[in-house]
Amino acid sequence: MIDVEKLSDAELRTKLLEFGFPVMPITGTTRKVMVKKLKLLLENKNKVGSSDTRRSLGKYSSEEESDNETKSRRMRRITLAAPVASTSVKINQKIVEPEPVSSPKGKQTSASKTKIIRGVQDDFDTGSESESELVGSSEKLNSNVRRSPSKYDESLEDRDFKRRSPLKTSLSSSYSRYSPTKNDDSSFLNSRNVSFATSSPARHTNYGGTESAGSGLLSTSLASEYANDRLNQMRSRLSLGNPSTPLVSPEVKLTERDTPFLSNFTRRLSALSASKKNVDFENKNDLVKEHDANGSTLYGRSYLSNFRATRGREPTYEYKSLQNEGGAKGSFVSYGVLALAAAFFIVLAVVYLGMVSDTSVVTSGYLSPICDDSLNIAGINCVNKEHIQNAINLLESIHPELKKRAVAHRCFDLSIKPQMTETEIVAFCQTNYGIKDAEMIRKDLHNLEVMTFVNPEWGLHVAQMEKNDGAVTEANILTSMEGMVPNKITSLVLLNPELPYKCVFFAYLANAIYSLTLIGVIFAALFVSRLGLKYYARYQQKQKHELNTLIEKIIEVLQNAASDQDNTYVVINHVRDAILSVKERKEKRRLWERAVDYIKEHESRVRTEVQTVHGESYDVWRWIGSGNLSLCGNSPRKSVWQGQAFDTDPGAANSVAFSPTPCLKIRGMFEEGAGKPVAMTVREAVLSKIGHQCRILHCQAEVSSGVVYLKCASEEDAAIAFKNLHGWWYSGQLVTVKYLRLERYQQRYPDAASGPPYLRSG
Amino acid sequence: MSSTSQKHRNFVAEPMGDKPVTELAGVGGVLGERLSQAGFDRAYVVLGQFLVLKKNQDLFKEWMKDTCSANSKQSTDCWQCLNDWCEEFL
Repeated sequence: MIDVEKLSDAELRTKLLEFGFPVMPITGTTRKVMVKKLKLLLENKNKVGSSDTRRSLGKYSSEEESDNETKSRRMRRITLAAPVASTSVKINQKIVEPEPVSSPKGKQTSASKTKIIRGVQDDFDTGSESESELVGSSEKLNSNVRRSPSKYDESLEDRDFKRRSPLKTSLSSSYSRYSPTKNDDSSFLNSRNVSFATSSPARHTNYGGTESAGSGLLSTSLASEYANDRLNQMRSRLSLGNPSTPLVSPEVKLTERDTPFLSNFTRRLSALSASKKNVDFENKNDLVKEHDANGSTLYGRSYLSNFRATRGREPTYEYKSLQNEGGAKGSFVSYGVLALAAAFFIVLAVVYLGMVSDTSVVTSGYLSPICDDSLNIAGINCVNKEHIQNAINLLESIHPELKKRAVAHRCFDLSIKPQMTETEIVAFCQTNYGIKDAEMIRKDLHNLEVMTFVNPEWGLHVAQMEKNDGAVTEANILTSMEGMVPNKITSLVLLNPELPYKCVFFAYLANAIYSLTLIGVIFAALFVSRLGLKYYARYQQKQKHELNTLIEKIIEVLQNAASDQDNTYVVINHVRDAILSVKERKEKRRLWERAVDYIKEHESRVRTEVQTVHGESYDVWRWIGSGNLSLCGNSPRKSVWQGQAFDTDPGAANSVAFSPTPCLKIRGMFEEGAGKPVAMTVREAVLSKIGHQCRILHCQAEVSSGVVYLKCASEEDAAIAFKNLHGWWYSGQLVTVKYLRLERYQQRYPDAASGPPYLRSG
Repeated sequence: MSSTSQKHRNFVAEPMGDKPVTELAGVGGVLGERLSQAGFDRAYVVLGQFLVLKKNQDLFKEWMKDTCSANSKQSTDCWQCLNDWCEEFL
C-alpha cells in the first residue's frame, strides 16, 4: 500500500489518472481533497467484493446522470477518457489489418487469424512460455467463459474481451501471469506506457486485448474491477501518447469530433448496466465501422466487415442467444414437466378406463365340477364333462343380454327386470341362434346353473321367485343347487354388472345433486327457523314495549283522575276507551287484557274493585298512591314562590342592617337566555310578590343575563323588597338579591322612572 | 434545487467584482470568517478554487467541508451559486 499522503503532486495526479478519475490541477488547496479521493478509490479497490467498486463507480455515473447541468456532464464525459476508449477499439481493428494483405479475403478462417495473432504475439511477448500452451489455455478460458454467460454481465470489459477473445487470449494469458504483481508498480507501468506510446499500433491493441483477457482469466470478483482500472489506465496513457503517435492521432480527432456518440459510449462505460449490453455491443461495432469509413482506407473497411462477421458478431449472437435461451429454457422446462405430468395422468386414466371395460365372458380358468364316481349327483353339484362346453357356449350367448338387462335396470329404468327366466332364455336362444331343440337348451341351462355356483367370479346368480313380476333381489338368490324348488320360476341374473361410465357418472351426479339439495334444504330450514326466531323475538319485544306504554298510560290516567277528583276510582272500560282509539280497541284487546292483568297483579298503587256506577256494577281502578308522587319528580311547578330558605329579618345573619341604595339586583330567578315569555313571567312574579308592600319605580328582567333589576322609590322600600326576595325559592331555585348603586342603575337604564306612578302586579 | 435564496439571486445578478466572500450564497459570517482565514477573502478567490476543481460538485463540496467545515446545504448552495454565476458571466 502506498502512503498517499507522501505522494508528490505529480504522482498523485498520475495515480488518480490510473483510476480514470477526472483530475484537477493539484494545488495547495486542492491537494487535500484529491488525496482524500484517492484514498477512497484505493480503499474501494482493495475491497474483495468488486460490487462495491462498481457501486461507487455507478454512483458517479448516476450523479452525473441526475445532474441537470449538461455542461458539467459534458466536461465529465470528455475528461473520462471517452475518446481514448474509442481509439482502443479502433486500434483493435488495426492489428488485423495486415492480415488481408497476406491472405485472400474470402478465405479467412479462425486458424489463420490465430496464426497471425501468434505472430504478433511473438513480436510482443518478451519472455513467456511456449506458444502452444498459451493458446491452449486461452482456448480453455474461452470455452469457460462462453459456458457461463452470467460472467459476461460482470462488466463491459469482459464483453470486450469476449469479442476479441478468439484472437487475443493467447496474448492475454501470458500477460496475466505477471500482471497482478505489476498492479501497483507505477514505475514499471510508466515505462511500459512510454514504450507503448511509441510502439506500433498493433502492439497497442495487443496490450488492450491482453488486459481484457487478463481480467477474464482472473474471473473473480476482482476481475472486472481490475479490467476497469487497466482500461482506464490504458486510455489515459493513450491519450497522453496520442500526439506522439501519428498513426493513431487522426482517429482520435475523429472521435473527438463525434461527441454525441461518444457521450453515449462514455455513459455506457460508466453505467455498467447489464441490460443494454447487446444493443451496446452493436453500437460499438457500428462505431468502429463509422470511424473506419471516416478515417481509414476503403480496404480497411472491407476487412472490418469481414472481421465483424467472423469475429465480432458471432460471439455476440451466441451470447445473445445463450441468454435468451437461458430465460426461455427455464420456463420451458417447468412447463414441459407440467405437461409431462398431465400427460402421464391422462394416459393413466385412459388405460384405467380401457382396462375395466373387459366385456368378454369367462372363457377359461373356470371351475368345472365334473361328475365322477363319488358322491356327486349329476345335475345337482356336478356336470358331465361333455356338457360343459355347451353350457359355456350358452353362457356366452346369453351373457350380453343379461348384462344389457342388468345395466338397463340399474341405469335407466327400474321397471326393466334384470333377470332372465328359463323360458325367456330358451326363447332368446331359439330366436337369436335358431336352435330348435328347447329341451337341449334347458339341459344346458341347467348345467350352466350348476356351474354358476362353483364360479362365483362370473358374477352370475341363480334366483328363484314365486312369480316373475319384479326385479330379482338378494333375497331371491340361491346359494346352491339343493335349494332349488321345482315349481318356482328360475332365472339367471347379473347382480353387479359393469356399468357404463355415463351411467356411473350420472349416478354420481344424481347422488351429488340429491345430497346437495338435501343440504340446501336443511340450510334453508335452519335459515328460516333462525329468521322466525329473530322475528318472534322482535315481536315479543314489541309486545312488551307496547304493554309497558299502555300500562304507563293507564297509570297516568289514574293519577290524573285521582288528583282531579275526590272520587278516586275510574271504570276500567272508560280508561280503555280513553287510551285506545275506536279502531285499536278490537286489535289490542289481548294487549289490553294483559295490561289489566299486569296492573291487577303488579301495581300496588292501584286497587281493582267493583263499584256501582249509574246503577251498574263495573270493575274499577282506584288510585291509592299519593297523587303527586310522580308529578313532583317529573314536572316541577313553574313560576311559583316556594317559600323562604333562610331568615332575612333584621338581626338575622343574612340581613343587611340598612339599605344603602334604592336599587336591587335579583339573581337566580331564571336561566340565562330563557326567553322573553319567561322574563315577563318572572317580572310579574316579582311585582306580584312585593308590589303591594313597597313602591316600585322600575323593574326589568334581563333575558341575556338572567337578572332582574329593580328600582324602588326609597331605601326603605328597597329594604322591604330585599327582605321579601332574598333567600326565597322560586321555581326550585334560590333567589339572591344584591343592592346596586343608583348611578349604575341610571347608567344602565337612563330612562328609568324616578317618580310615581308606582308599579303594581298585573 | 427547489428555489434559490435572495442572496443567490443577488450574487448571480451581476458580475462579482470585488465582493467579499460572504456575498456568496451559503456563506454567512462564520463560514466567511473561516474562509478568510484560509486565504479565501474574496468571492473571486473561491471562484478560482471552484474553477480549479473543474466545477465538480462533489469535490467542491468536499473542499468546502475541509476548509471551513461547511455542511451539505451550505456547500451545495455555494456551489450552485458559483455555477449559476459562471453560466451567466463566464
